[in-house]
Amino acid sequence: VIAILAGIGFGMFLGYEVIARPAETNAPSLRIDFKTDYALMVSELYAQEGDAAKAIARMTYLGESSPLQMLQTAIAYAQEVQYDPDDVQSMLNLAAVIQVLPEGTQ
Amino acid sequence: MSEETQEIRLADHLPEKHGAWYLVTGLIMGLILGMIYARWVNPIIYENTEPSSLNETDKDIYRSTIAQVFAKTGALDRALRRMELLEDEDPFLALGSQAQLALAQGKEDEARALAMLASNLQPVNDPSADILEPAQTLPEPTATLQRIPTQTLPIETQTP
Repeated sequence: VIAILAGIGFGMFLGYEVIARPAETNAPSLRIDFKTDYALMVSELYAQEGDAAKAIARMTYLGESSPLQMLQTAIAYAQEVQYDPDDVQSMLNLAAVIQVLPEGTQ
Repeated sequence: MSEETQEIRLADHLPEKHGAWYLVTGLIMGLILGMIYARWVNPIIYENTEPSSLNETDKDIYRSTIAQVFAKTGALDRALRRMELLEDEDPFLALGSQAQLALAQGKEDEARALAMLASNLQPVNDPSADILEPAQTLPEPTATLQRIPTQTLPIETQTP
């Protein structure tokens, strides 16, 4: 019984900590400052291309349920850490466009 | 040696062997349980990560977005700082190979943007210049005729 318990204990440690632990992460796990920078990149691209659908598709990379919500979070962070006003404006412009889109596409 | 003593000796060895098997069985059970626990019961969720830890697919998307923004805005400093976040071993190579892949998939704009950023990362005077269209560069002559010096014999002049 002790041998089985010891085996289970060691096996669970190996299984949980070593084997099952993913070595890489995905975009939704990014820290807020990196997410904000990505949102800024999307806004910069939107400013040049003017394609809101493409911008929304790009925002889904961050995995939030609503791209608009993610963008608003990013704007709040950008304002908090005092991003360049032009950059904040760029994100605000995109948010304004997404906001007026029909429900479900945001 | 009597049969009795032999039986006793066999009985001494058995628990050790079984103990090892119990340990191995427990280990296998534990591994399975540990993985089930980690995958379904209490999965490991990472938070607040950095771009350098992203999986290859997400890294490619991040890199491509950086390149596209650079292609549209021309802000090289910003693009370089963003590229540093990915901590690619060789950013030039990463951009170049991704450009090739994008081109093969028919994403010409993306490929061009990636190649453009790569060429800006490239050290000056690097001879390996063409990233995007190596096939379109002028081919090296494969068989060039070698000029073989022919030996010309000196004309004998008759001296009187």
